[in-house]
Amino acid sequence: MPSVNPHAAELQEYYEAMAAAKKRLVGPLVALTLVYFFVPVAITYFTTLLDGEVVPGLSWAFLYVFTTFFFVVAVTTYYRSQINKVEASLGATAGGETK
Amino acid sequence: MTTGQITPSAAIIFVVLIAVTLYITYWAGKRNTSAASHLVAAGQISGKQNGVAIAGDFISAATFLGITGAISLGGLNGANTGFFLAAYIPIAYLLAMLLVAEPLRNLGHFTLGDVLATRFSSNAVRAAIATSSVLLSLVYIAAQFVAAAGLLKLLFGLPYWGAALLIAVLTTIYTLFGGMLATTYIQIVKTAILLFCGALLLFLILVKFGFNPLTLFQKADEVFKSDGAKNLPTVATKPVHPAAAVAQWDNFSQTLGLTLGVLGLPHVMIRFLTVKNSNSARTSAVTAIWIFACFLITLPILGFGASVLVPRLKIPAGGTIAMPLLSFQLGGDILVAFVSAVTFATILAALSGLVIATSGAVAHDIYGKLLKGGHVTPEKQLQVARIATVGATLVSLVIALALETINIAFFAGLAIAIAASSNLPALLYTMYWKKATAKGLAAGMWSGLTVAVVMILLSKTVPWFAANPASAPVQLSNPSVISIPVGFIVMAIVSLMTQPKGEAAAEHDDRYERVRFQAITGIDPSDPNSVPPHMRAAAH
Repeated sequence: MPSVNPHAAELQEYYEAMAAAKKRLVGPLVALTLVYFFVPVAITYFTTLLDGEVVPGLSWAFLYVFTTFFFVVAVTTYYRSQINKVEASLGATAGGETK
Repeated sequence: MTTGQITPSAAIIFVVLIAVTLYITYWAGKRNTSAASHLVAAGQISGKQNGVAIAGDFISAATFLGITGAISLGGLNGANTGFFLAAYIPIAYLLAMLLVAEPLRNLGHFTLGDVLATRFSSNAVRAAIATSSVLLSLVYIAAQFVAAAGLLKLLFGLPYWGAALLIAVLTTIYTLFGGMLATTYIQIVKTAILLFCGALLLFLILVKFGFNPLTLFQKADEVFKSDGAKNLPTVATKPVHPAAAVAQWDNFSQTLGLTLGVLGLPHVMIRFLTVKNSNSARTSAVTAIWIFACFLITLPILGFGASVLVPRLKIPAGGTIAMPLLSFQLGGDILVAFVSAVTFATILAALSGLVIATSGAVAHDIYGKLLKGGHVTPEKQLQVARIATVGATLVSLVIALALETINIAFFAGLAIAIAASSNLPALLYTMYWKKATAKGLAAGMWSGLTVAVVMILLSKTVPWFAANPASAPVQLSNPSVISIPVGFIVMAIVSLMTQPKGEAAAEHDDRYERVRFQAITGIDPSDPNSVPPHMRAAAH
């Protein structure tokens, strides 16, 4: 990309590796997140499928809402570990804040 | 406990908390010497600190008191606009981490307008996002102001005007002298105290139920059934009547708008500009997500605790003071004083962040870039930012005083709908879509903004249709389900219709590649001295 830069080739290589890694990770995780959250939201608001009781005081819909918190933490942890691995392999963590 | 009275213990805790926040402001004020420090803390905030502050922005008084109050009165079903919607917060931040946080940090300086300007130098684009940011921030501040003054009146018995004035004075001091640095540290302190407070209440409740939440759930269910409240949705509550069907769409629209709106809220997104690099921005998001998950998942237990432990007749409609009442039940005057003081700090911290975001859009985007064409000294920019800070607070105070008796709950919905329908499409298209054009962005932002505003003004939620809501032309109270697609679609269509040709097309594509390069690597492609990270040690 920066053609006047003496390190242009290395920069381009670094960019392409990071872009490929992010594309591989971000697209599926975004799609999964949208489906995981909005499909049950729609089912809860528009149908009776999740209305049954698991235990008194707790419906399936709200049990599902509880799982959302665990889902978010799991995806966050996975994304972070994967992207940190990519950055480490490309030497991009120097001076960063990875922990 | 009698609400509306300041007990001596409440007064002491209150004064100590305000003294702490004023000391933070004094400390930060000595470091707040430039526009960069005033608007984005000049990158002095660490990723983890920023994550705590971000979490504080959304663990607000509305979240803590509103959701637990709604659950205490109606169970989880009664909290359809409460706990079920609270789940959107971690989801929104997960999406922010995946899509926006890192590119935003790599492209932005002070405002969201800067991010768009890396690709589109058009004044029309900056004017559109500055207008939308200032409008939605003012609306949001006014909504918070009215709610906060009402809450203080309820908790401490202050006159409404006195509560509003107290909030305005303290917010002005924090933001005017301490800038983003003070705002962030006050938010951090408040979040830490609120988390401690939540954990303490959780422990005291669970002790009474043998540390078994299911026992609590069953007891709460008995309470709801005994007083006629329906805890669970049933077939009968899934409406087939047209008006009820509108309510279903309204709920969906609200959830959609809130979730996506977070990614376009200036006061939230500029927090990613307060850290030094994209790695810290990611750490911010991860920290915030962990706090959200740990805190929000406990709210049903706190709400059910109030249902079972506080006599039903004591909780007034709305349930806002269910938590102070529960605190009194569990820990007497001291605990209720603590919870009330933390609630007050929560309000101040959230308002301060909003005021800083507004002053940034006014001083940097409107004054510095649009009116002065970028030819403005840092000193002058800081001066204008400070004037804008006072101006934003004053405007909000006037709105709050003028609208004391009017229900302006629709303000919050409007602000979030504008963020989701105008700012979010612009940010995503700038970062990810090669064919986006300046004209497309401007047209999409104005369309999303206009549809959101017009739909709200014609909806049943506004005061002028309060007497006869059925006569409102728009029956949805939240426009997001319409205005978000409008923003995205208009932006796409106009962009496709205004594609550059010839040399301009090549330049357009090159600009996009440069933005992608900078968004992903954090390296300015125009800097001839830049090197990849693994070569930096050797280069120096």
